[in-house]
Amino acid sequence: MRASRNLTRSRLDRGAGVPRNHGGEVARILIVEDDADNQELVTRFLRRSGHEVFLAPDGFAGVAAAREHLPDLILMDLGLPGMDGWEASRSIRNDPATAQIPIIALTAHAFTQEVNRAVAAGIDSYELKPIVYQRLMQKIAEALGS
Amino acid sequence: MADNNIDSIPVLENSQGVFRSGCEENSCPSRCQRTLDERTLCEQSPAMGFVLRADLTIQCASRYACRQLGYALEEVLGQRFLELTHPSDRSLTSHLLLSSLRRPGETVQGESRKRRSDQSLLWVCERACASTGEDGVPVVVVAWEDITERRQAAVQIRDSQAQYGAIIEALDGHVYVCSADYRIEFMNRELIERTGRDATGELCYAALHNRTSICPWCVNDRILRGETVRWEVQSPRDGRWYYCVDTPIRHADGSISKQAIIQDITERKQNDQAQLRGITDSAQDAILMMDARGNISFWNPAAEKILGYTREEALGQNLHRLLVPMRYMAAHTAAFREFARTGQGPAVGRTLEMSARRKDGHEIDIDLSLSAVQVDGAWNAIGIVRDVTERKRAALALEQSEEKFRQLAENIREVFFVVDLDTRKIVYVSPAYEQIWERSCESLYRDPWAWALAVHPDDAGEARRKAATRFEGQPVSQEYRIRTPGGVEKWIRSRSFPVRDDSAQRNRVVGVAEEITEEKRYESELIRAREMAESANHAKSAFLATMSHELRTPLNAILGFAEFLELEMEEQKAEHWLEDIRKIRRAGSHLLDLISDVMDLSKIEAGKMQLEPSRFDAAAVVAEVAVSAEPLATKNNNRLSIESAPVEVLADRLRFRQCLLNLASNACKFTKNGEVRIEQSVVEREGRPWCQVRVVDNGIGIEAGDLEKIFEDFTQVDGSISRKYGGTGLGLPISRRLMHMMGGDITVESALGQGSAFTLWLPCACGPAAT
Repeated sequence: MRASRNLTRSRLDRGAGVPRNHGGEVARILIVEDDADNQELVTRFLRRSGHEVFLAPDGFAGVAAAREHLPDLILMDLGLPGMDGWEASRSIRNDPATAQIPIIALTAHAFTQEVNRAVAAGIDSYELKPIVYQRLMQKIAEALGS
Repeated sequence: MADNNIDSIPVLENSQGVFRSGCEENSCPSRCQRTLDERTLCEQSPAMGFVLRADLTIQCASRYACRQLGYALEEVLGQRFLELTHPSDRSLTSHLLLSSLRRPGETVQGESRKRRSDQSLLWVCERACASTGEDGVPVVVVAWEDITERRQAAVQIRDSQAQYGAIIEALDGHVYVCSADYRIEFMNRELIERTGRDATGELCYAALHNRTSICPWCVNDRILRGETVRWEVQSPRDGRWYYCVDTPIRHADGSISKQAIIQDITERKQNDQAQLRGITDSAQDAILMMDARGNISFWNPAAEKILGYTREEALGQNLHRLLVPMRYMAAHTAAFREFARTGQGPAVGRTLEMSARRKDGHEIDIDLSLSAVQVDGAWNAIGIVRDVTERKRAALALEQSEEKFRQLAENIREVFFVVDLDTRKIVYVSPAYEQIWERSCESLYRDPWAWALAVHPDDAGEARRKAATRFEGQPVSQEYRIRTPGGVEKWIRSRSFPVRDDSAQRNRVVGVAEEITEEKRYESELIRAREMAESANHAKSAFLATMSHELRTPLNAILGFAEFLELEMEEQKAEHWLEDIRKIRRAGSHLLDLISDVMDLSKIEAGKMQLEPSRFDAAAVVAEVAVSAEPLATKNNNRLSIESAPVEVLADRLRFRQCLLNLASNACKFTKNGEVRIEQSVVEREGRPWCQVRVVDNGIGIEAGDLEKIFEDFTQVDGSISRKYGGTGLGLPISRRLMHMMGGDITVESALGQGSAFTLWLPCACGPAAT
């Protein structure tokens, strides 16, 4: 059943958009990203898939939000101001409450070194920017499914 | 006078003042009437005369006598005559006067000392004659002759004769005195014994030498001229040596006699000779003598050693012919001629360096000291020869070494210095000091810290402190700045270290100071350049990192939103917008590819491309790439197949994948309805195993002329390649660079219209990997 969708920009909100159920699970996903456009894009794609989205603009907020909301998945931009994505990830991993949450890193870097670092910090997988969102969605589905 | 007969006038006989009466012959007192005359004579007589009464008082005295004695006549008259006589001689005088009284008319004389008024004495010969006075009373007439001088002379002569006699007798030798006419005047006891008699008065040449004529060697003529002659002679009669001294003796009358003293010096001479022989035998230097004919007359043992000839071989030989090297012969011979004549020469009285020839023919360097002596009137030479070969060799070696040192020290641009630790003074500083410090070496010799005055104030303290440690025997190395008097600043590096001169036990420090201004400048420039390069490097890295990030950021939005829009439009079946949005996505994607390629190439060019090698299975990458390329293959209706076998390689997995994907994409792009095969295998080349991945297609192929061009990055090529073949045109250049960086390669075989085969080469890490 197709519903008309308001294509206006939505901001930080919890479940304000019309969830589109693609048949997969509806999950609560935390996005830690500082760039506004990237925030907007990933939010839209996630909402289309029916997921609930939380946004945090930096590492500190990200760690706090993770503790608070205990999402099902975290999308972590690695290049964050202040506490960077690696540290935030480590923090989240170190906290038993949040240790189990799968984290997908979003990074412009493709170096094995960076990846290893990320893995060492506790990241499960990564996507290279600019993000091909279809691929990301697939990865998320896989992560949620397992 | 009663009788005016001239014969009865008393006359003075002679200047000696003997006062005699004219009637002495008659000696008859009664015939003399002299009273008045006596007085007159007494007063006027220029002699010392007295008339005494029988009681020996002075009746009258001559004025002359009074004057001589220093009395006035009045003082003397009536005084006792004996008062004028020296007390010791009074008895003598009294005896004399009395005896004259006993024998009137007879003159008696004696010598005695008289005393003047000032108590000084004079010797007189006193003559007294008793006579009868006017009144028949006996008187004594006394006359004095002053014999003081004669007396003294007589004493002197007696003394000196006694002395002379004593000397002669003490002398161990023969002494005689002979007159100018060869008459012996004196012989001493020994000579008398020897001759057998006292030959005084005989002719000397007859008595002493049994000759009938003057001895040829007689030097009387010289003696008579006032010369003293001395000589030694060996007597042909008994072979003994005598030392003779002939001296003139002057007599009072002006005549000259010869005194000859002859002493037997045979033993002394033998001792002297023995001593001399001892000296010459033991001398280290050669002592030779050359007689007037130029032949060797003396040759000591050292000469045998130094010159090689034995005494027997050398004596009598011509010295020059024996010892002088040929090339000097002419000069020596000429000098000898002059010497023989005059006893003079350039070498006489001096020490010369020359060469001599030994018996074995070798030439040696010698010092020759030459002196001349006359023997029997001919000039002989005495030479002392010292072998200085060794000394010369040492001196030459020293000279050469010093020359080397000086050449080194004076020509090197570095300052070479030597400090004596005990005196703390500079022993030597090379001239380079004046070049570098622009101060005189003299100033440094005077004040060993003069160099420090030039040091920059900031460096001075440290420089002095460090330099002082060298006095503790520390090696010192330091750098400091100096300022020349002209204000020029220079950097100096100074190194010094202690040396010990074992033989002389001197403690010294030797050092080198060099100007390193250029070096320092270069150093600082290098540092600055490096810093600039580093910061440029940092800047470049930062730039690349930033650009990479900055360029991608807008693409996030472009591609992201375009993807979203496409999704929405697909759902809403908004076909008329769909193609637009797909174009946007394609262009954005292309731009992303371009940016990636440009960043890659920039990194590679900047040397910033960091590969992250790891061991991985090449076949796995092949499989991945096949999966990624599948959609591309399908798009052009190509069949994609792979063939692989596990093989471990050591490379950057990501980059290898990039290269392979690049090739696979190209193959799919340039082939339609065809076949793309990826074949991976191990091949041996140049004795090593290589992992070979071939991407083969049967597409449009590449023109032969472009086969190289396709690998050149777009800086070198016009955009024709990319226009012709699409894409960024950078993929192959980048891939090739990457493959090379990984120790591998890309090669291509292609024919236009027939397809292409691109091959990736990677060295195998080891054999086929166990997965």
